[in-house]
Amino acid sequence: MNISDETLMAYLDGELDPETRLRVKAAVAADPALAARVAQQQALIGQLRSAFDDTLHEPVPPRLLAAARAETDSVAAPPARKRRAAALASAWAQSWLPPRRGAFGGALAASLIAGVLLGHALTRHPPGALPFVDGSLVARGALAKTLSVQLASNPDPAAPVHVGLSFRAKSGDYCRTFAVSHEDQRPPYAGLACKEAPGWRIHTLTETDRSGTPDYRMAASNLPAAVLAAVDRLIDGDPLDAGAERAARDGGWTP
Amino acid sequence: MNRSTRIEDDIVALLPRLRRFARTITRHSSDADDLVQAAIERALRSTAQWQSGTRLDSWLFRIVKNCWIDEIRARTRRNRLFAPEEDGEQVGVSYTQRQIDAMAVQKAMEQLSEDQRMAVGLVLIEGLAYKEAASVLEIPVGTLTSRLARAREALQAVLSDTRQEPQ
Repeated sequence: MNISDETLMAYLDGELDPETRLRVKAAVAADPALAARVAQQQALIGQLRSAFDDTLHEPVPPRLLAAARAETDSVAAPPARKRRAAALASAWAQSWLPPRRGAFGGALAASLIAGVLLGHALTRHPPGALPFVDGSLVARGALAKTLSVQLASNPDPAAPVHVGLSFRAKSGDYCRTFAVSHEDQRPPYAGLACKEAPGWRIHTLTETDRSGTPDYRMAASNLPAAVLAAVDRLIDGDPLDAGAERAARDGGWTP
Repeated sequence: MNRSTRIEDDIVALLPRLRRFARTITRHSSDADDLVQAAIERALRSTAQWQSGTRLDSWLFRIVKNCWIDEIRARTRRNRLFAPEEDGEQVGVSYTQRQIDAMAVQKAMEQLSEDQRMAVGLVLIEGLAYKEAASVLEIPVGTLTSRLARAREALQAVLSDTRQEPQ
């Protein structure tokens, strides 16, 4: 029996009907050259699977679990406040992605979320700290000043705003994570801002757990999940080290 | 629980396979989890499009595929299709034979076209039937099998030198 490459491949992939399969099996048993080709192909498949199978046994990164769990935050019975805030912040970040990706949520949903978060922010923060500029939320006042001048490598423990990671985004802009804490009972919040044309544009803003704060230098592991997810999404390469952070600041955070 | 919760749990259960598929089609493992995350986010925004009773894994693989095609297009526009070389920079690390074999496979996979890698990932690694894989890739079965055949040939040529004898 003459077995074409195509048939042999279908045999290996389990795509033959039972009758043809038996015929090929018999032919392979009778023909050492054919048997060698089958063995070679099976070894190739074994090699491919073994190269990628490790992925199945690795722990799934938390950010992927968080992404998969995000939806129930809006539909399940009362979600934890923190998780709702994270989901909002994530939706918020989505709404600021370039139009190509922003199409999914719809303008109405995006503006609704923006309204909710903005209203939220304005009741808690000095008027003018987080105004809209041309449809974006842009840092002003102490937040803007800190983002422009403070070095994470040289923190000021008394300041209400603390900068965490600084990095170059895929867009080329410089971005920094920040945390804001208060003397009184107002909950602290954290976020991510990038230096763009209108100033420090806020990409993500989320309340943080008071108890969970504040190592002000904020190692990556201390960042709220929503901020970390935003960093993951935007970052190009590694965060800036102390020298690069200083150089970027001295250059006015211009790419 | 409601329908959304079941989908979400099913997606979580499929995460290891989604990551494996993403690793087979991206050249760099650093891209793979970004790709999975983008795909999950897109999937959750469009769960209404998933028809209950059809295979959730195929639906998600298709979203991963579409996200990757979008990413490739975006990178081509930005002229950075290839991420910086990572392999070979990890000097001084010692690898197990298994890891060395895996790296040889990764390198061989890099020689394939995007289309061929997706076919290999779905059929040879994920074990999808031709019909199912063709529907994920939105191509005819004949196109899938010819991509697979060329991919097998190319992989065989690169890997036959390095392959260990089957145990």
